[in-house]
Amino acid sequence: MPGRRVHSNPGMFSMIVILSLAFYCSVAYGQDVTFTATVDKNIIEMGEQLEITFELKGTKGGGNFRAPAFPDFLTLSGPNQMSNMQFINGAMSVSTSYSYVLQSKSEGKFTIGSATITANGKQLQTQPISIEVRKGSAQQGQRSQQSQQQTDISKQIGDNIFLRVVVDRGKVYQGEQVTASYKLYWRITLASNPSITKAPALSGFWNEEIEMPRQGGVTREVVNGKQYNVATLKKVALFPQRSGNLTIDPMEIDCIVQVQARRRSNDILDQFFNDPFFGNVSNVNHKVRSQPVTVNVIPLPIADQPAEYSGAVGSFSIESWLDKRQVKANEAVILKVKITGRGNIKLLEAPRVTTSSDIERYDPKIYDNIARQGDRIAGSRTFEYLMIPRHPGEQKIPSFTFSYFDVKKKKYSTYRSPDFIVAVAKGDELTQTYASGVSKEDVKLLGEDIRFIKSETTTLHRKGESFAGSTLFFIMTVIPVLGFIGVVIVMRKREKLYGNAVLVRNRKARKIARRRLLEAHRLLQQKKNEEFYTEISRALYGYLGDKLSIPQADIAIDKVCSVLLERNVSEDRVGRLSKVIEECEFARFAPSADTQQMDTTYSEATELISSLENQL
Amino acid sequence: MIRRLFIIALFISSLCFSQEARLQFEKANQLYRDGKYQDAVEMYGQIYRNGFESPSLHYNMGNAFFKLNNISRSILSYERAKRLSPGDEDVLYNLRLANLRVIDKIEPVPKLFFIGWWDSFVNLMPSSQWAVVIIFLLWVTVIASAGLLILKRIAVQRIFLFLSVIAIFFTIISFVGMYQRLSDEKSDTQAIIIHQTVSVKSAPDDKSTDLFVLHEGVKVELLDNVEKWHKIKLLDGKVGWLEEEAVEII
Repeated sequence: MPGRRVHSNPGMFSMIVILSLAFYCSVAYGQDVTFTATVDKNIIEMGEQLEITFELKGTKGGGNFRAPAFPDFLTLSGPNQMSNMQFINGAMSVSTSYSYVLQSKSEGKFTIGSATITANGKQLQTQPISIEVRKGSAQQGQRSQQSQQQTDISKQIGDNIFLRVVVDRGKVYQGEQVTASYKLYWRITLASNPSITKAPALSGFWNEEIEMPRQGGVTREVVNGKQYNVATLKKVALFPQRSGNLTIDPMEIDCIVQVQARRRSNDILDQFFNDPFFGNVSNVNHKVRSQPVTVNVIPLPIADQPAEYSGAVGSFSIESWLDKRQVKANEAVILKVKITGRGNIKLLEAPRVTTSSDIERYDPKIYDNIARQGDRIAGSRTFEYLMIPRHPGEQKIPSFTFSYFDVKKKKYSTYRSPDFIVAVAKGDELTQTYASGVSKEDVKLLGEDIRFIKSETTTLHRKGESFAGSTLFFIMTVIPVLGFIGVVIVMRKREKLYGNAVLVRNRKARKIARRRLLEAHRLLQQKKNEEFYTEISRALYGYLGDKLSIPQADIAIDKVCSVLLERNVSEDRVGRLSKVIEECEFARFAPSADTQQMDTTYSEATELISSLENQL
Repeated sequence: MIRRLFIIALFISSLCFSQEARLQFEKANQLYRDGKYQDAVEMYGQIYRNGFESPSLHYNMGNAFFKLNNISRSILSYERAKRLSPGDEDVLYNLRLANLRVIDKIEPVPKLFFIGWWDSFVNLMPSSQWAVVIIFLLWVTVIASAGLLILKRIAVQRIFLFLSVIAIFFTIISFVGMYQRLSDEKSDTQAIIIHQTVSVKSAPDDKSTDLFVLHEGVKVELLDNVEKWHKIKLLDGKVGWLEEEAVEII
């Protein structure tokens, strides 16, 4: 944008036009009126800026200017309209130009379309221009950012003005302060105070600006054999936030410098007056950039780092105190922790104070008092912890610690607070709090009164005495048991005395029969046939005799059968019984060794006894 | 003979003592009615120190402490009353009211439902009443069994058989219940926190870490004892150590 770069020199513009023509692409010829589109370069690099100018020559003013769309570029500024009237070699030339500053968005070949304008009743059109955007390096981009004219002025200004970043130390611990001073060196006339156009980003640092005296003193310094005026523009305290080589970004300032105007034209007069003697001085806006500076940041030692370390670096002294030692429940107590010293006060984290759940604790309020004078940031930070003990008793605020890395000693230092004891008295009943988790029903109950006392005195007894374990209890439990045993014994005696032998026989019948059957089974296995049959018949006769109360002497098969039938035992069963008995009689006198027969007899006898038991 | 006389003398003397305790109890109740709770508390305490107790004594003492706003002592007394008379509604009601004023709300670990039923069944009566029930059931068993032996008619025998089986079953259950009640009553493993605030530690040592804080009135179970420290367990299962003097055994 020529209008911005050139202030008071109309000659400058022609120079720009000439330079632009060096990259001239297409010209739309009119008869005496021309409308052309020019770019400052056809091949640009990625991210680079491009200036396109549409110029109408030969007539004054035009209407209805319509610029093409720039879909492949970012429009940084424009349209910047400029009218120019010039006499060159006695001929007047009039021109109006519209310029745009564009920035490439992506790589490739693009075409910028035509612009139209109406002049002298005719519509004029420019030719499309093709632009190639290449991949470029940042360095090249930086260089090419400076426009042609500027390099020219830069050449003239040269090293007569430069900006330097001075750091007070090149090697620091992470979190340790580095002071960066931005110093401007100059040995040409400055037309105005320089203004910072691009403040350094200072990524990787936490920064705190140091206040400069209002009237910055200008000193003199000799650099490379030349004497310069030196002024410190800005001073920043930097606290590196990570380790490694951190770069302090360059700062850019704008200053208006006075330069000798030079004209590059064929005009002899111009060349003559180009002599510095004539002092054709012009004010030029000049950008000055500092060089990036690297600071080597050493990480903090990890080996002996305290667990509660939270990043404080510097030299500090810590105090902690309570404002009150005796309070009522629900009254506030304030615990203050004051950290004073040099270092990054603003980055200090609150020490972790723990309390029991009885004390309601709030996040600390932070008060800073920071002095920015001098090169070092110093001051104090106060943490105020508001605490409200909710319940009476001796409440303890346990000791807490605060650790920092002492830069001077190059090691960690830990402050340990004392235990604070607060004597909490009972608060007002009204404000007494009840724990949460009380149901609605319970809340209702809270208002209720307790039930009244009891006046019965009968249960009053010696402590630890209970009827349950007492001797009396044991006696009373033993009595019924003994009584029961007594009853049983008496009954047994009566049975024996009154010779109720029938009853006894009846009760014992099955037992005896079973014993005999077992014996028979044993004999069966030993294959003693005779004895086996004897035992079976004894078992049957014995059982039936006992059950039916028939004396052993009178027992005979006919009698037994008739009695059984009388007692409603089925004929079939009676028949089976007599068959078994007969079998036994027979076998006793005519023994045979038929084991299978014996098995059948045995099981038949067993079966008969158990079925008869159910019926008799 | 001399021995028997001695026992009788002892019995009479203890009756006299308890007579005195009864008079004191009535006096203390009068103090309570007059609103002199502090005096009442002292009087009840004296009866207790003289070696007497009853559910009513503890209950009344708990009431007096409650009126004095001494929640932990009041809960302690109610718990003692509850121990002697677990089913007493007045005790349970007042204990519930007192527990509402306890700061810590401790949710007991839920019991298996049948264990809960069993416990509430056992807690229906104090051990002495269980003992009476046992004696009654024993008599029922014996009479039923004797009837079973003596009477010969089958229909009657069946009733007696049924009766004696049921009675034996309940006698056994009552024995278990009585035993459980008795061991509960005799146990000294439950305590109430009487200090206003106490930190429960992770080990029996002043320097060990604080696990949690308890306030007056919380009921704890004592598990172990090392020097002047008690290992305690809360109803919700939390375990820790605290100083002996902070608790009082129920």
